[in-house]
Amino acid sequence: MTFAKRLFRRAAGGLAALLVASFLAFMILEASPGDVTDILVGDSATQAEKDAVRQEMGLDRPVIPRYFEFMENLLLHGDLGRSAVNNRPVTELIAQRFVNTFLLAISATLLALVVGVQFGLHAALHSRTWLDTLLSVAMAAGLSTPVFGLAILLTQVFSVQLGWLPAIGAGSIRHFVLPVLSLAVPTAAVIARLTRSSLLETLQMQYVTTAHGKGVPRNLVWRRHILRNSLVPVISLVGVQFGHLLAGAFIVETIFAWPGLGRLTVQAIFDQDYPVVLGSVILAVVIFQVLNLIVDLIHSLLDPRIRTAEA
Amino acid sequence: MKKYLWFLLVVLILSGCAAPLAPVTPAPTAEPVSEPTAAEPTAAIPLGGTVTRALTSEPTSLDPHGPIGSGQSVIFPFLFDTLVYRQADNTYHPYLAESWTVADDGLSVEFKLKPGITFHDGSPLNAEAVQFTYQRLMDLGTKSPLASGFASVAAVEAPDDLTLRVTFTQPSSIFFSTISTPYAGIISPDAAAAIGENFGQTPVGSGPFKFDTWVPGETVTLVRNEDYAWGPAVLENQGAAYLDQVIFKIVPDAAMQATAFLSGEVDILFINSPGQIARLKEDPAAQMIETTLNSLIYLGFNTQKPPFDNVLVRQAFAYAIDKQELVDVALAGTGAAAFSPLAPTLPGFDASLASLERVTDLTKAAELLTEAGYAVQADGSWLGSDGQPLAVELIISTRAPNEALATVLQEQLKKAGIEVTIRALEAAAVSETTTAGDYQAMLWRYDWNDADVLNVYLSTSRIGRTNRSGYSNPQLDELLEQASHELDQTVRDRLYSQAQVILIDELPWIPLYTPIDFIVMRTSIEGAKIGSMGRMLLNEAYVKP
Repeated sequence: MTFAKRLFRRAAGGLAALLVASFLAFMILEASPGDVTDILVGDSATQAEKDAVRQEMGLDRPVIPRYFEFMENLLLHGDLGRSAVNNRPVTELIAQRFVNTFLLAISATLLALVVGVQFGLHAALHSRTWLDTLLSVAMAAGLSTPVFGLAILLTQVFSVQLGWLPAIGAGSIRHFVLPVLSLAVPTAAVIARLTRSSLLETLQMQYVTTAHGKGVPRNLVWRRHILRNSLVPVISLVGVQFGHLLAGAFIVETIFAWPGLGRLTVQAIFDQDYPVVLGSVILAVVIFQVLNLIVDLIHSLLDPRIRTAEA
Repeated sequence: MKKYLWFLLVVLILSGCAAPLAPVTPAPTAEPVSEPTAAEPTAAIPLGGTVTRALTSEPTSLDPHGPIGSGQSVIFPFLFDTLVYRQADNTYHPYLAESWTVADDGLSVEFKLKPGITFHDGSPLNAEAVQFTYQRLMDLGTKSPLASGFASVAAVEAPDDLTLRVTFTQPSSIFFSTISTPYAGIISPDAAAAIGENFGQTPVGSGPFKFDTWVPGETVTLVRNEDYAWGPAVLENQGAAYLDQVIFKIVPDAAMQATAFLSGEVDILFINSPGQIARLKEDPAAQMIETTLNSLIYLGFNTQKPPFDNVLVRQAFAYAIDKQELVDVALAGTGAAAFSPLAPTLPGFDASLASLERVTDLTKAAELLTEAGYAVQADGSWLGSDGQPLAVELIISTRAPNEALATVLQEQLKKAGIEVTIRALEAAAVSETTTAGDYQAMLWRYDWNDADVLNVYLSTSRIGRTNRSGYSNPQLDELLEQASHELDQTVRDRLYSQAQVILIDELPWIPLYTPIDFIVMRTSIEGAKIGSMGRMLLNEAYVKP
């Protein structure tokens, strides 16, 4: 199968996932208690007054035609509608916040990747020594520290006690440090653990022994055989983790008052601003589809078996 | 190898297992914590400076006339002026209007505006602009939070540039509280026409500060209005503010607001979480200003469904509940036990009725339940005459501190043999379920600026809407209706006093407590003024060098 064909198949699959997810999200929001008219007209309105607003907003029409209209606007015009609360275009609201979340997530992922692979590598190289034990304890600690606990500790030390770094907001490189650290620590721990176990497994493979035995330079064995093979699962993991950071960094965003997508979504849920909630859900689906595709491509570059298996 | 050890150390510190870090004590300030007072003589006041206030949620819009959203009402008083000013003691004072006359029959009010007022865009703020604003509010209908306040307005006219006449279909005692809220701020008609739909993103008013920038999700920045000369009469400085800038920073998490105060990133915040109050009280740089939103937290009953359709059961519950214990245990003392359905800070609250309060008494509770037809069982529980055990479901929203409150109530009622199950729902679901009358008991909080709240929440005409109790008492309806049209405060107080007697006796709600909320402000800020409903003015505030 050619590359173009595979890409096409993936895109079609992605579109199908988008259709299913958007339909589910649309229906779930429809079925949840209350709607934006509760916010718009307040407590004192009579049912008739509420219905009038609902009619004005077109919310009294049957749900299926509204869903199709929504999908038509989305697919043909890239239009996600307008916020029910302040009438601003959803795409505009989401785009602003997505950039902020993306910067946070990519920084945290890169940091976690570098630190995690280093830790995992050295733990594996010195397996069953005191260093391995120490590193493993550190990984377990990093993994089990709740993000909010870490965030509070970091701000207490670096913002309140030492006064080195701002605790809240965005806007400068200094604002990045604490939220990125909070996100990176648990992610690095997961990556380190997987790197370690994957490396230990690869090191015992016969082809590694063979390569050493036939006199391939140590360097080359590591680059060609050991790292390449053991990093395949790590890449998948990084892809998934990055997706989670993009779509689910709202705890860190809330704590550090970071103007990201997660916070926008949570606020929209409180405001019952369903167009914005729906837009965020759809964006999350698209993110995961794109990431999966990228991870796939990297895999096939690293591992010829994946390339040939699909050929 | 050293490199890795260093790495490890960092990780260990980050995971919180490291050696204790030496605390750095914040520099103590010599000044005693002082209450905000009127500004000192102008000569001593340093000009300039920036004050930053934390906001819990980002405003959806800065148009004062749309639906209520959190965060907005804090910003509005800086951007917009109102016709009259309402002080924390709920008295009214000249603001944009320098005087007003209420007709003897109460059917019209004539306001005289101060001359020479301009909006931030330079256009004049005259009677026509006020008329435009009020008309805009009325056109919004139920989409405006002030709809009921304007309901009895027949017409708003501007006979000349500085005269505004409002006529009523019947006298309204809530009109002044309505037009003094931040939601009745006067906007520039020119700007509203020019900016159109995006007015809420780039608001133009006449207030002491002008809109500067809004970074979505982060900050709203306002700058001094140099031309300002029409501040409320209660201020010494009615001219331009001393501060250069006021910045509102959006910080959703209460604990982080406190952290940001401690790290110097915000100067002012509103706080009602007991843990954070305790934390900030220890900071010598923090002055804690007790403030009120005229709030009440109460246990509301569905009076149309068993068992609370029986007044004896409601009264029995009142005897079974210990409000002081509730405040002490669930709130660490940050509240005051309440006996009246009116918050003590609202005009009309009658302190002399405290004697009617039912002091916790399980024997009396048992007597009332017996009288209501319940029979006590061997295990202390109660069986109704219909063979059903006395067990109730309490609906709460998931917001703090509801869960703590509900748990304490559950324990207290258990001692009286009453089984309570707690059902925690998301706020929207609580509102929907209780409005539909599909519940037995609920925890509810109101923040209201007038005693008319009783009318809104308990009059027969509001059943199916805001009267979630389904409570109907023609005598009470009559009193509340009269009070909403009574302009003589003494007579009005008497009407509300009678209404409170009825409600304390019949208990569609058991009032539980009024919360104690704080505005926390850096001690270096002087001259801030807190009005009614926690509305803050920084017109004469300055930062001590």
